[in-house]
Amino acid sequence: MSTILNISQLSKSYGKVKALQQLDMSIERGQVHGILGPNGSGKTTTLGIILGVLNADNGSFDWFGTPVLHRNLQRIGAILETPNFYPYLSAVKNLEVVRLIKGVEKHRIDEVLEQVNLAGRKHDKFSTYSLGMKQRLAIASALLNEPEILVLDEPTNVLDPQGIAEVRELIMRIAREGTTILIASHLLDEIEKVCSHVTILKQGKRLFTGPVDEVFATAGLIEVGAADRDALEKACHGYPGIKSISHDARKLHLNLEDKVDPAALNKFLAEQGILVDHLVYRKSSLEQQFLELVSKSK
Amino acid sequence: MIRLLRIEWLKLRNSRAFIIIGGFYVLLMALVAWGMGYVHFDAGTQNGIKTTINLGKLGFFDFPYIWKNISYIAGFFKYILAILVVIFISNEYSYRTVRQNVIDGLSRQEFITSKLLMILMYSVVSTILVVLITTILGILFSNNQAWDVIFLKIDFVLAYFLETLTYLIFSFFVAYLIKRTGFVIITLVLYTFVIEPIAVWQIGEPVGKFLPIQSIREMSEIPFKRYIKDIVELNIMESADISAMFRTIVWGGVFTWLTYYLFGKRDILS
Repeated sequence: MSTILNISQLSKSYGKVKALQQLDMSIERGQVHGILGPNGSGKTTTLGIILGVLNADNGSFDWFGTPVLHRNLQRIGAILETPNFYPYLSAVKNLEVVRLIKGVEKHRIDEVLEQVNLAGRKHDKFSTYSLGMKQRLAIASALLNEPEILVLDEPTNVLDPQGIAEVRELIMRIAREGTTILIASHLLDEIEKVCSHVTILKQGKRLFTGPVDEVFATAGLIEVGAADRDALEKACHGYPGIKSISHDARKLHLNLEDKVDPAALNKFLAEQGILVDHLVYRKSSLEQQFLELVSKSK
Repeated sequence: MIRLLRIEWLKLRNSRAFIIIGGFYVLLMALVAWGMGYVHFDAGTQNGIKTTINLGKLGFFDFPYIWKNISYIAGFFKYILAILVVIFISNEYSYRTVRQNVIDGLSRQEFITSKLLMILMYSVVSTILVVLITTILGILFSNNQAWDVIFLKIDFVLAYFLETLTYLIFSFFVAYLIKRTGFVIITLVLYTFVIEPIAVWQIGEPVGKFLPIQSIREMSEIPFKRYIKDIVELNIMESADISAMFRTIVWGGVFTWLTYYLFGKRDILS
């Protein structure tokens, strides 16, 4: 595999705020790599730096292992935050600007507009487009040069459910065609649904980087309920494989660190004289893992 | 270079603002130049005869002085071009397309270069326009059509070119710094017509002449003096001021360098 992007010790501050602290990460060809983090975690700052609009205070990065940034950017397709186009120009003319910047063949304009279903409105001014159409035009623009890597920042952020579904479908199709993708999002299920790899940021620091299933693989969770909840909780304390216990009104949530056989647990509790009226084993959801991850490093 | 011009031209030619303001500029300049020939003013009554002064009859359109006269008047219209420059710079910020252009792979230097090329085009086209208007008016109205003198005062056209070019570069720099169209225009008006003239008046011309707007002003002078020189004793500039031209070029260079330098160094936040 060849490395598309390599980031090393990247740092940036805005005044006293440390937006990004010594970030290391790399993207290999063929990955769909998510940068996941709550708002203000440094996702957009990272993208801003690697896309040449923000300057890092320290550290370095390189695309494709070659130095000239704007030449490299011509091989990339990228959207940062909102779709930015000239409102008085039509879709075709907006893409013509991008085409001239990137040095792309003219016929690509119609091809990408077809790809994102905007061919019917291609001569209308950008200012007349709905949000979903604007976002689709942005994706068309990013695809114009048949990029080696697509960089997307919160691609579904402002869209309605239908728009979100459309854009995700489009991203997955592009990924299946073999394009490397870097996608920043604060939405877990977005990362879970489309990414193969993930880097998790919090307050400018990297918490994790690696394959999605590796990062999120843990033993899961058992939900258990009984009439006498206090006795149940007491009995569960110290049971092997349980990392921590939390509870809601009726049930306990046993967070596991090792595999625990629910049947064995049931038997153990029965021997303690506790009759279980609810017992469910769950693979831990990404969301819970993520929240756990984020709160752990507080 | 051609690529940058094509990008810039694409952004311009589809814009209603560009067509309206640009068209207005060309028309207004031609009309005013033409109208100068018909300016009359009452010079009072002498010996019972009412006399009127007519610029055309005074020789306002006579070669070679017509070069100085028309380019001086045309100099006022550079403010219209400055408005165009300001609008198209601040648009790039309000649409956040500067950012997108850079993300798409236009280097920061190329972005500035494309805007400077546009400014150079404005200056060249408006200079050609001045030459055309002057030539036509001269052929129509000049009392002197002798080939050997026709082009004598054409250095004032060069001064006009430098005046327009440098002022537009200055406007570009201010637009880059301030970014919001309204504030940029207010700043330009205040600086050009209030702040710098007061500064020059306070510190005196020997030092004040080194300021940018004053340098531009001193390349030429108000042309009407020639036509009242019989009445009042006046020094008349027979050629464009070389040292002021030099100062103007230096200022153009300084603003160009500052724009490249700051744009290359700073974050592009919007």
